[in-house]
Amino acid sequence: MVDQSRRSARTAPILEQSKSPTFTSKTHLLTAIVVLTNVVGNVCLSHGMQEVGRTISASPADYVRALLNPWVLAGSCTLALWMISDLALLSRADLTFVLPVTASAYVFIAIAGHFVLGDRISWERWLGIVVITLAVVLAEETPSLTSKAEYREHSQ
Amino acid sequence: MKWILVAIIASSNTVGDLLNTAGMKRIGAVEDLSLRSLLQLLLAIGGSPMVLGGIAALAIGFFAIMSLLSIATVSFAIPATASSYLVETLLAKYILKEDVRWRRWAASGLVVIGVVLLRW
Repeated sequence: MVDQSRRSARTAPILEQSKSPTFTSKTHLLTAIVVLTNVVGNVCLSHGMQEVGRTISASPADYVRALLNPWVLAGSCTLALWMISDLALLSRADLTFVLPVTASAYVFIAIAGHFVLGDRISWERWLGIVVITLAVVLAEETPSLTSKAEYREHSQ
Repeated sequence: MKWILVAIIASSNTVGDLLNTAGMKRIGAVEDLSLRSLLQLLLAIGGSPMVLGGIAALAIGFFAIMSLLSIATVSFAIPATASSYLVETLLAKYILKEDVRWRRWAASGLVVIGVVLLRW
């Protein structure tokens, strides 16, 4: 998974590469995709599950039936994209960077609930939104990749 | 029963995230989002026991949270399981050798507080 522009730099250790503006901006783009697919997927899924009704069951057939609802289906497909983009993000960033930064999804879900579904936001919830936003800003200020665990160097 | 489910959810999320992170680091950095590299990524995931194990652990956590939501309210379930953020930060520091300094500690602590406030 090495594009042409990077081949010349493939001998450089990944930790050095990760400090380049190109690497960082790709990581940020991927982060935005992870958050967007998480928010859209969860909003679709919870809207769909409310239409379907309570499905707490040991039988897989009940979950398959829920998938016939277009909102549940759209939500599940979007969450599959979320899983793939989250894995792609973890391939180039630390877990302790990804966890707080993608927690911004909680904020967007609360705000979407307020403006789209008309949920009331109490002052405790506003405080929660501010606190999570602060966490996202703090984590964003740290370098995205520092892990010294085994990392396959580019060598295709 | 509630707290047993909370423990199952927190530990399967932790194990899942750690396995996925370690496995994806071994696969190597994904460079672009073209269809071709997406297919390469899916093949690499299919060939990585670590990432497959991580996804399986997250799936267990997902079904456990569905069960928890059937016997407890969202305002209990979500904050109770958010504590795994702190455990994951600790394990990422020592197992994945990530450089966790005060900003990241503060960030994961604030996420836990924020999630509790959001679900009040």
